[in-house]
Amino acid sequence: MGKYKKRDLVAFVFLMPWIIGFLIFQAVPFLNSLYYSFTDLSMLKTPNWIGIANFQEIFTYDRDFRKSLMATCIYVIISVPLKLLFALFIAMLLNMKLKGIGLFKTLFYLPSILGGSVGIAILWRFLFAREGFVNLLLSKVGLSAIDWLGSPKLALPTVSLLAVWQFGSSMILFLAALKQIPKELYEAAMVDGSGRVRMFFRITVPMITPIILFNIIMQMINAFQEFSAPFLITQGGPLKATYLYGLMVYENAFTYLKMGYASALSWILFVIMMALTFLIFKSSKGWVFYQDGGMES
Amino acid sequence: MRKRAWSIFCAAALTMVSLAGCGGNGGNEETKGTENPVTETGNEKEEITLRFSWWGSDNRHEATIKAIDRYMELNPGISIEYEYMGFDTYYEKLLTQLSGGTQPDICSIDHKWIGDLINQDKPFLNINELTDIIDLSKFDQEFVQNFCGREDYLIGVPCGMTARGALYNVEFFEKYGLSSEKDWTWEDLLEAGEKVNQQDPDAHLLFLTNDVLVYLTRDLIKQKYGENMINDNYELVCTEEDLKECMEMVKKLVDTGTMPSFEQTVLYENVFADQVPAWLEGKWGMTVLVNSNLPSVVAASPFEVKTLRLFSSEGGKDSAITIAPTMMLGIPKACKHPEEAAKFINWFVNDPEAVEITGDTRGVPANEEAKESLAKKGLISEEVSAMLTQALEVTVSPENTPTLNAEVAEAISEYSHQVGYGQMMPEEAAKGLYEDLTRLLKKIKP
Repeated sequence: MGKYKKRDLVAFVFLMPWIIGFLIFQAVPFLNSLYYSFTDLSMLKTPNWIGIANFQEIFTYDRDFRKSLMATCIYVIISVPLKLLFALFIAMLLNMKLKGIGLFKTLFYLPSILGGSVGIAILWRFLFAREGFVNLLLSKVGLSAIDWLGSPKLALPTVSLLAVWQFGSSMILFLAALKQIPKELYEAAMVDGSGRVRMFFRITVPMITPIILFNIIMQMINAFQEFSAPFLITQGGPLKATYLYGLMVYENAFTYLKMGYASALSWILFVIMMALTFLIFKSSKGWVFYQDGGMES
Repeated sequence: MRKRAWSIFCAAALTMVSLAGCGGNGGNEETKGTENPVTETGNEKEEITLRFSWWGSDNRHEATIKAIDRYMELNPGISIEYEYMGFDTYYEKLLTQLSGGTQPDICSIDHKWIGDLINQDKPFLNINELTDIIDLSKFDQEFVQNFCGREDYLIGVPCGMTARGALYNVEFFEKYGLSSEKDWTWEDLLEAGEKVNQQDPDAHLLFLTNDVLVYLTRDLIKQKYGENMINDNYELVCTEEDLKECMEMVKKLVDTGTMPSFEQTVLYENVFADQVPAWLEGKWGMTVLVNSNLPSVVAASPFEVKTLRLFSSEGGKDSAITIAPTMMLGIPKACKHPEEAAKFINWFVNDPEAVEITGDTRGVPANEEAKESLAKKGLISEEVSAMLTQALEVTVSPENTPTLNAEVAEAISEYSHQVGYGQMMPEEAAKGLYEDLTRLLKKIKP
């Protein structure tokens, strides 16, 4: 005990509000939902313990589960790399020394502030509706209207694009990372006669790999939990093409009143995300470069 | 970096899971208070605050708020707060409020939820036990008891009575030479739809919300058998062959061009005609809806509209038209001032002044006296009352809990979409639907 000083106590006191909030609003519901996933909890009734019946149903029968998991994986595979590439691209533009760069930074960050909002999702719906702006542009160049959100094949990519639009937070992180790359590296490379492309792949990318890792994980987790875009734009349709996992959990919980079942679904997603995160961390040893030698794991 | 990523990861995952974790068994404990209704009369004349929630469109909100203000003027010491929203997420919110104990004191309840709510341990007081405060004498007793509850349990007081029917654009009918002089059968519908589409490939006669698309199957079965698609024993009354006919109807509607392709309509399947550009532009000429939704559609449509009785099957045993109570006002068991809430409900549905303020914004009043007085003053719109009259002239019977079940509806919707999109043939869809429903019914049977 002697190790702990007054300083630590002060820190602890300052952390208390967060810890209390965490325990009440996250830890308790988290553990509760684990318990509920083994029950038949509906909204207002007392739950009965039903063992692994929920999980059995999910894995052996529930076609929506398979469809939804597949759609969600595709969504993650489309939206995360696109978003990160776009974020990196904009970050590199903003890293150049230009007049009024502060203004540009703000402008580019704006969509991210707005992007998660209901209003933008609705706007997206209007843009890509049959009578929407995108089809209007197509008609100007003589192309016929496309049902972006009505076609089972196109709906998911269209919804995924909305996510790409919210590249701001990754961009800011990339920008910070780019700023930290020592100039000497580039100078040395130029002296040695390297081109821009070579410098990008040999200096820039390796130097920002820790941030790439961080962004991949964060964005992957966000994407797996995406809810508002499909909920507001397509309600999961057409033909469940955009029936993402979050939407499925929500529908089971609030439309079918199968809270226990929804808890089980949540836990499966949790395990999947945990496993993927673990795999990415494992793989990171092979491709992430820490300037200071990295942390001991 | 790594630790931070992990902690944020965990936090995010927790948030996600907590969404699902928030069910509660609080409801049961809270119901205890209701066995001895609170008596707040006497010494303490404290300000009582009641909360009232409903869904709807702007004209309903405005009228209701006006009525609430008037009630507060008349009853000093009572203050009524209100919360209103759209229909699509109202039920989710209500259930969450009920399970968390934050429910309003006066809630609006839809007839589709009656079965669900009864299965969920009846979170609302039985209005039949409050009839000393709420006067139901002016209501059609049969309607109230059969349509607003089960057996002796009355979940709420119906504000209005609604009926489902078709609404059409009169100009559209004239343009394509269609007549609505007599009722339409499904065959008439297909024939007319083909005629329209042949004259103009961009024009389509009919478009439906997802709700009504599901009703299409339920209606065809009910018309054929004269009873609800799923009986009270949670058994399908129809065969796989019957379901095939329903799925074929979906296919025919699309193939003949009566309905636009699903690619075009799917975005509008959860909104009413007033938000469908092709209807407002006069390209799609007809839809099916419940008459309580008419006022906003009529107001938004830049052309004359008229109602038509729901399509029938030749030699059908039932019209399958749904008559339903709308916006039943219920008092949650956990309400702290049930008497005051009941008094307000009584005023809201019975008082002539309240009736006049709210008019037809909740459909045609279920209170007969209110209906007559509004009709005399011309406060019920022509279309709203026409649709109800057309419905009441034929045989109607209430829908039941299993047929209205949300998972049953989802299964019908899914297969109808598969057929509509051309991904499945009616035969295959009927087989899948029959199997799914049979399995599902076994599971949901209480």
